Amino acid sequence: MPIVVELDVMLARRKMKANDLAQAIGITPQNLSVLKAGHAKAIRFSTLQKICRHLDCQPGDLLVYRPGPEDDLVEQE
Amino acid sequence: MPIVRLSQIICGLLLLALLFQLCCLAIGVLLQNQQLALGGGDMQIGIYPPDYGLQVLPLLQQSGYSELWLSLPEQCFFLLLNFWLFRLFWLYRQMQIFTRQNVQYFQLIGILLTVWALWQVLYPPLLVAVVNWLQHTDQTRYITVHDYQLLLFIVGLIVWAMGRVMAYGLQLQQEQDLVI
Repeated sequence: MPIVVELDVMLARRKMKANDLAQAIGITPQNLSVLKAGHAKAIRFSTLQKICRHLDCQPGDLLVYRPGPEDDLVEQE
Repeated sequence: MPIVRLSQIICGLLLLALLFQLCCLAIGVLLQNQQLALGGGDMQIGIYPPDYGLQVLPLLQQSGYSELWLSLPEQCFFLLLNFWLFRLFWLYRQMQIFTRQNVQYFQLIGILLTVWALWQVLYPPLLVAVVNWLQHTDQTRYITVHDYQLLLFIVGLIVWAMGRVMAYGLQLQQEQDLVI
């Protein structure tokens, strides 16, 4: 996926554990793990808003676009 | 009625039908069908040629072939259908509704019904052709399409299409599960 989730970087900067964040924003640690690992297909604005509020950051700090061969696949869809 | 309860009932009925069918199959194959006198009436137990094969039956008997050539393939279709339906409703019984296996069984049942309808139309003339070839005779081959065969074909296609729809539903569900 050309969109990379840099949640682990932001968690490290804020010195926060994934489990604590999951508890704070009200999602399961499993779902947060899916998001961190980059396996998620989409993220709700409400979830993004909660993460940004708790980590005191912008959506751009969490999501990074890195062009790659998978771009072509998305265009074909 | 909840899905689980309904599926339990259907599984039970399918199992009963399967047992009954296996008994008839055993009597038909091993004992060459039986006729019993029960309570003043006659009861036939065994496997008998399907309606669509009655045209071919005299030819088979004249040529010395068993009528099982007509009835056994039909039984195989029944057994397969029963087995896949049982598996499908067993999964529903366990509340596994949108799973890959379910979709697979749905599609298999649809394909089976479609093939079954085609089989019913094409098998009797094929059998005549084989007998002609083996016995060096020249019996006429008829292709007859009954209304129930057409209906079976359409139902098969519908179930197949529903299987495809379920596959799409499964894909949507998997994607939805990955929306955080």
